[in-house]
Amino acid sequence: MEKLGIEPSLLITQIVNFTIMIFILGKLLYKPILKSLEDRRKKIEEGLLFTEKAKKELETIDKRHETVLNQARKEAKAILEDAKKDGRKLKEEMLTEGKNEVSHLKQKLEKEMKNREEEIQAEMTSHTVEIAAEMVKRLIPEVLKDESQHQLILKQLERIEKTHEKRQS
Amino acid sequence: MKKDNHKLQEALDLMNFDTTHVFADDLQESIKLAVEKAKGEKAAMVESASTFIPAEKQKLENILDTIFKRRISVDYFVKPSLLGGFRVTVGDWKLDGTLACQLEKIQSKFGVK
Repeated sequence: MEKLGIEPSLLITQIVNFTIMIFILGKLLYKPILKSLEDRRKKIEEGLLFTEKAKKELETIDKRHETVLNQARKEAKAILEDAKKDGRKLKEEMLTEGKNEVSHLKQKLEKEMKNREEEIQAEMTSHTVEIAAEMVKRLIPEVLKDESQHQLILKQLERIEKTHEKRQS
Repeated sequence: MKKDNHKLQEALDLMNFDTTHVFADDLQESIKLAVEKAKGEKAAMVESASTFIPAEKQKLENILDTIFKRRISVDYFVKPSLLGGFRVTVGDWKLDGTLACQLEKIQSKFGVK
């Protein structure tokens, strides 16, 4: 060993020094560092777990969100359908009401026209009769001369006589 | 004259009027009521479109005597507005056979006042 340049006492001293240093470092440095690393590792692990958990919760929320959205879409669709149905129904009702009103108006107008026609007819008849009566009143004195007048009187007298005789018998 | 007769006939046809039947259908009923409505009356009023000749007067008075079973005095009046025929009024009883009356009845049938 002396030929190699290694002194045993020095070597032993170095070994002892090294051991002491390792021991001291182990106690003062190594353990705290390890602890620190371990703590850090744990923190990282916790962080990862938290992230994982948060990710899962996010997924749950997303799913719930999607469900709510779908539900809302379904409800909106249903509301729209109902509104369309109501709209159609209202349209039909209005059409029917409109038709009924038109029909009613038509009947009313026809009735009014018929009444008016009858009124006019009656007026014309009345007017015609009036004119005819006036003509008769004017013509009779000219046409029914004395002879005709007396004939009329005699006929009336005969009629009264016959009627009275008939009653008596 | 012929033209006037034709006009008159046209007018009468228009009203569906028959000159030989100038009394209302209720002549029998009217005569029936005569005695009741003219109870106690002693005078009759006769209005005609033309003057009654004596023969007509006699005939009428005889008829009235027969209907009322007593003598009734008659006053005669001429009213050209009656157009033709005559009417007799005794108290509340009236027998109207004038053409004017018939014309009025026809007019009222058609709603003409």
